[in-house]
Amino acid sequence: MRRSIYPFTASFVLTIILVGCSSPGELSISQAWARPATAGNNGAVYFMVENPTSQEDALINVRSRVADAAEVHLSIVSESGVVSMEPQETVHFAPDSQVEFAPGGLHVMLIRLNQDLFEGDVVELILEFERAGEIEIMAPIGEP
Amino acid sequence: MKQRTIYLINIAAMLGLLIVVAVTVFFPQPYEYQGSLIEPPADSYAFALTKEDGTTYRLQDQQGKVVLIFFGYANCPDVCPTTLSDFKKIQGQLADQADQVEFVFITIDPERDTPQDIENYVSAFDPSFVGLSGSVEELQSVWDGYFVYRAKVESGSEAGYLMDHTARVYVIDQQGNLRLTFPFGMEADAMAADIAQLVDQN
Ligand SMILES: [Cu+2]
Repeated sequence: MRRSIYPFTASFVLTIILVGCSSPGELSISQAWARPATAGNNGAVYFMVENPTSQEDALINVRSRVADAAEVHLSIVSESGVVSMEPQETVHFAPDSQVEFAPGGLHVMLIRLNQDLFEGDVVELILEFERAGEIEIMAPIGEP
Repeated sequence: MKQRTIYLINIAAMLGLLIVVAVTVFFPQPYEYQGSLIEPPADSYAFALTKEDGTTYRLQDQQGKVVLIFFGYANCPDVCPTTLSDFKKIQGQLADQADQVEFVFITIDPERDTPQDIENYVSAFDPSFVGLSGSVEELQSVWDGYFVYRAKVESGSEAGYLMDHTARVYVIDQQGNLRLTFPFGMEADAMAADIAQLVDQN
């Protein structure tokens, strides 16, 4: 009896230590928000990605129930004032870096919304990272 | 002799300073626009397009008001809504001057944007905003009139084709002249200050 409990306790303690250590140092999403938009149109979600780890990570997929499709896009404004939008297959996050998804730059584009995005509601979005796995975020609708 | 020279230099310096102070107090600096000022003001292209309700929207009819024009498309989720949201902020900051300012959004994607689509898109930001579409032929002269670049891009997006387009705000003054342009990304506060100045001038 005593013998069997000891390794269990040890592994339990070790798990707590690991969880306690790793969670503040993991890739995280913050400051998420979505632009209000109407059903049938497209929407955009913005947020901050923080990668405090020592390894590079990459955003490889995005999805949301509120739209037919979701894609990561990058808006680029040229010196002559022309804007273009380019779909991004992956977005890389260097070790110990922060990347902001913001208006006029990186954004998650929600294509053909199946519902209105009303100010004050939230949009559920799943971001899939190569290393960090799937992260579900709730983005409040409305400009912060 | 040397001391006398130093004394004179001091007097001259003090007088100089006094003049600078007097000039700044009695002749305040003219307002400096933060957008790109068009000097001398250029004629604006006076377009007329049919609105969703069947009435004709003529730029000429807006004389006496300041008109802000942006060219975009309803499928645009980032830059166009950001600009319309800036329009809303500018309108808010202008407060009681806001009724002297018109906010107009003209499509560069008439293939997909009907007058109804563009009206719905724009009025979600504010019911007073004007959304305009038309035939390619009608719109071509408007795009040309404002030197608007537009190009269809097959990007492989689920959204279908995307549009590259000029993302500048054009400001028409009360006399119907093209007076200012704002680049994309300019702070709404700065744009509002420029517009308030234009409204005040008249
Ligand atoms: Cu996009």
